[in-house]
Amino acid sequence: MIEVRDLVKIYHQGAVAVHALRGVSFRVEPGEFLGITGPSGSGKSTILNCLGGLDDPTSGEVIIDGTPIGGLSDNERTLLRRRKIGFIFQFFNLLPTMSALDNVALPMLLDGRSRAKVYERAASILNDVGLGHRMTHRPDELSGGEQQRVAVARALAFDPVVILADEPTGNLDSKSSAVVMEFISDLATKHGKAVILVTHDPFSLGFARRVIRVADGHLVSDDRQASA
Amino acid sequence: MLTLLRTVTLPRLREHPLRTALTVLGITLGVGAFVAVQMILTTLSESYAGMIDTVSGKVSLQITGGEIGVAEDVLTKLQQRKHDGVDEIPGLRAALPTIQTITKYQGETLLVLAVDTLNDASARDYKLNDDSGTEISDPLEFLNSRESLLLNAEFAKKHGIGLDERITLMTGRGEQEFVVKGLLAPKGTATAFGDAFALMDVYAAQFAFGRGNNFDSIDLVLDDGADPTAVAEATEKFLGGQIEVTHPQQRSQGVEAMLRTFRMGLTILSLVVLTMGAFIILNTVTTSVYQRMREIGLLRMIGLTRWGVLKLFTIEGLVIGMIGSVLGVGIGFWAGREAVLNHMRTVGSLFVAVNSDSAQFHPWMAWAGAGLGLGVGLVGSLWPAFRATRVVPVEVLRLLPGLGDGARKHVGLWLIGAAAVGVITLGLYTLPGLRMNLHAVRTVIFGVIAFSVCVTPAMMSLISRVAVALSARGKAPLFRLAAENVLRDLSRSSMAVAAFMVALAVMFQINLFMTSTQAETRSWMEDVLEADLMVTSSEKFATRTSVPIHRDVARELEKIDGVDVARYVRFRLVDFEGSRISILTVEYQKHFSARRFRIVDGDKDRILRDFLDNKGVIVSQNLLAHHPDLQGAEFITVPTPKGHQKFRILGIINDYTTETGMVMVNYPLYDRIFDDELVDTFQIYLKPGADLAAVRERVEETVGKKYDLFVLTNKEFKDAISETITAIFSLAVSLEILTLCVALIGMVNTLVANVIDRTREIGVLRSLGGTRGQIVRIILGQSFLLGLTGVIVGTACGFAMGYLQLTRLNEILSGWAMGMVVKTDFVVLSIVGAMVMAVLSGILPARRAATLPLREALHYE
Repeated sequence: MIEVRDLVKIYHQGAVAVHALRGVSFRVEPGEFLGITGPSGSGKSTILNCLGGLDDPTSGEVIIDGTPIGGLSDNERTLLRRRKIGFIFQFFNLLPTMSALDNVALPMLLDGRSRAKVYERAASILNDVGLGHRMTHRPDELSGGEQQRVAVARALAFDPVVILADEPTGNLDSKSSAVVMEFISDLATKHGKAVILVTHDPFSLGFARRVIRVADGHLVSDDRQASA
Repeated sequence: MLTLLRTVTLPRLREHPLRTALTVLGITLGVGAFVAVQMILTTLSESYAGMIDTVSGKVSLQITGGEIGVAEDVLTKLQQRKHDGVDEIPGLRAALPTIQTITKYQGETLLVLAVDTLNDASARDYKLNDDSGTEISDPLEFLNSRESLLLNAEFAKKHGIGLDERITLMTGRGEQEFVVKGLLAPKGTATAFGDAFALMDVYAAQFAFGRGNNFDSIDLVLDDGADPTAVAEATEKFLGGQIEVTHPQQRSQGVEAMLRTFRMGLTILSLVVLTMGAFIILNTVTTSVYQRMREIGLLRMIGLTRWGVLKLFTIEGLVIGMIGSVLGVGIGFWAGREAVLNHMRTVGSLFVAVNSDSAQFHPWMAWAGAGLGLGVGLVGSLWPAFRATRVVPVEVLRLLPGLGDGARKHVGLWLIGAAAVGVITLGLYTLPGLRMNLHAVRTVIFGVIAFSVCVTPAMMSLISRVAVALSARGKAPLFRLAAENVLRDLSRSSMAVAAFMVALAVMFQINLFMTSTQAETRSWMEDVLEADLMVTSSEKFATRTSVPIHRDVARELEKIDGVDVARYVRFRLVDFEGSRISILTVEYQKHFSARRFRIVDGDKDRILRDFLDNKGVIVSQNLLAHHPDLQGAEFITVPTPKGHQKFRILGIINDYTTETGMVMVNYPLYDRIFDDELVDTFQIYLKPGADLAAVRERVEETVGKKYDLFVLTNKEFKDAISETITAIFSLAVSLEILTLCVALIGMVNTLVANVIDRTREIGVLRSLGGTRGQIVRIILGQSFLLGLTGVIVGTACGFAMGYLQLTRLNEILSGWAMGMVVKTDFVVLSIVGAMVMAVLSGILPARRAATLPLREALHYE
């Protein structure tokens, strides 16, 4: 379970204090697909950064699978991110010199796990996302949709409790977007992960069962919707 | 231009303060090294030349044989040149004898100029330090006794010496008292050696300073309008053609010749440091261009011309060059001054006696340093600036980060370049006609460096590929990432590694040269120096600032219990065919040892027999190398106090006494010809069974105290020479360390740039669960691979350069061909040290990478 309690984030740009979040609270259960949307500068990416431990809130609390991340050291937070959070970015952010298999294996290798098991699992996840035949290809040899599916596979490497996806279709054509969103949606419905998607895109948002709208740092609505 | 500077360049430089600071530091150190070296060299040669100029006064011509001096008879003859009212040397107004000697007052070096008190006013100006400012019409009237002297007023003030006070100076006969009869205004001649100057009568000095019946020189003052060349020719003719008349300035030319190798080596090294600075600028501006592709595209879209883009980046290089130059000139001035004050007494005293209390700084040094710094800024930025002009706006505005720098495809081109340079270099090296051609050998050394630079990218690519292969399939994921990063940044990393490689190569070259010189001279000393004790007036051994000792002191030494023999050693510099060579004489017949003579060719027994019978001289092998006309010659003509004299060349010897060459004379022959009562060192041989320590103590307690002499054991003496060789090299070693530091700054700079380029990737790794420690290890892995490449290529290049220097260059410059001696422990330590330093150069960038704010890192473009 993911819980966000009264999250406040203030950035200081010179003498000006920018209130990115003004007390946001919500909970996401395992298997739930939450979409967060809102205009640019509304604070949706800030929520994602705080959830992933990439940024510290000014006040409030983020609890991932029972662990409040506010009190963790950098190392503890890194390990939490490694094992319990999966990230999917707009620009895929795969390492360009590594094959798809190596990219998926990397987080597990960083964790010092047995190489044989790591590669076995990486291959299995890539098969799951339909890229079993593209494992040895490097990112520049894959299409945008394939690259994003590799990123999805990488996010699943540790069987995380939550997947954080930041505009995952922002760089894809509509066909690839549909394929990728199907996979992301399946992470919640079939794999029981809590999925939090930040997007502007109504099409992507359509896959989410619940949509939070933020504006000026406030949570303005929290609606459940029928499945796409 | 100013608008671009204010609105684009300066804000960008401020944006990356660490990288800007490192780049500026590279230039600062380069310019600083250049300025400091020029100050040291200029101080060394100019203070000597300045001393000669000041002492020479209105003297246009001089009769002198280097340090050998001129016999009194020559002066007498010159003074009797008028017969029946006809002057045999028209235009010559006066011939004035002088003696210049270095002595010590309370341990401080003091120059004593001794002149003909009655007539010298026509040559030099002296003013007494009179508070009223009144000039004394004839100040030389003060000099009327053997113990009178005039002292520079500043020197007197510094030491609290008043008028008519007695002071004790060290002379060849031990301490001697003099009376200060007047204080000289600190200007003109009285400043010839800083403030440490005394003036006295030449005949009194002849006695006090053991010149026998000789002077150091006879100065010729000409009539107004007289032609110096005509007077010189007439004088030489009048004196029978055996005496050479020279211009005073020619004396400093001989010293310049002695300093040639020293000057060349240091200047080249300081330029190497500056070249490193150029590499760093190239690196920084290239990085800047790469990072600002979008900005360039944008500027081009809104109307900035290609010329404008070129200006934008060359201004960046020039700004860095300018800041570095200003700081460099300041640092160079400080370092040069420190080096002159703390270092030159040791090294400088080997070449010339100069007062090095004040370092010589000329505005041209600042201009030259600044010019070089700006030049380096311009040269370093031109290529990346040109590349920036090729940017196609539409393409770069779509550019996504994370792509390689495209240098991998250039590795082949670098290899073709290496092959071409290699073939040319090898050709030059193997052509027999060019074996001993200085320019050809220098070109070969440059070729070796160029070849190594060209090979560096390929070697780095190879090493990184091997690292990738070894760490494949997750064996060492962090190391693999490091190797991949190096491969993706090959072109920029190559520049930094090439600079590091050159710095290492120069370090190995210098060390090989130093080690081999030390080993060769040590082995030579083992043969040459057999005496049990050495007695000198200098702390270590006789130098140009030692006070020679009267030879009669040997009798006192031989009376000491345990002393068997005290034999004379005299070492003098003479002007010989435009250079300054040495004449070495020892009482070889006492305690004769054939081992001392490393005869190169011929019947050794016959040569030594003739030598001991005073039938001729033995010359050093390197003298022949410097003067090829002497090869195969039967005689050599050298200056003596009585004019030039021909000596039969009995044999050729391998000797390391002086770089410019040596003539060895047996003492009885020297005594007969050179009329010199002074010696530099006494070599003491003990009686069988005598206790070395006890005899040494007795010598120190008696003669040592009486004449203020130093007593060294054989080992201490040899160690002192070895230490001095190290001291001579120390400036080069200091510069080399500086070169290495600048090269390491280049490595740090490259890695910082790499971290900036990989900011988003690092953010991704961190978001995937990479710890700070793991990020640090990746960057240190990169620095390890860069270091490894530099060490492998640099070691090979350094050994090749060292070999060429020892076997070719050194033989051409000094006439000494030495074998290469390798100190394995040094090589191992250097390699390990260089690797450690290379890896450590990654710490700062690694820390930076590890502490990148994740949120910004992930959104960095």
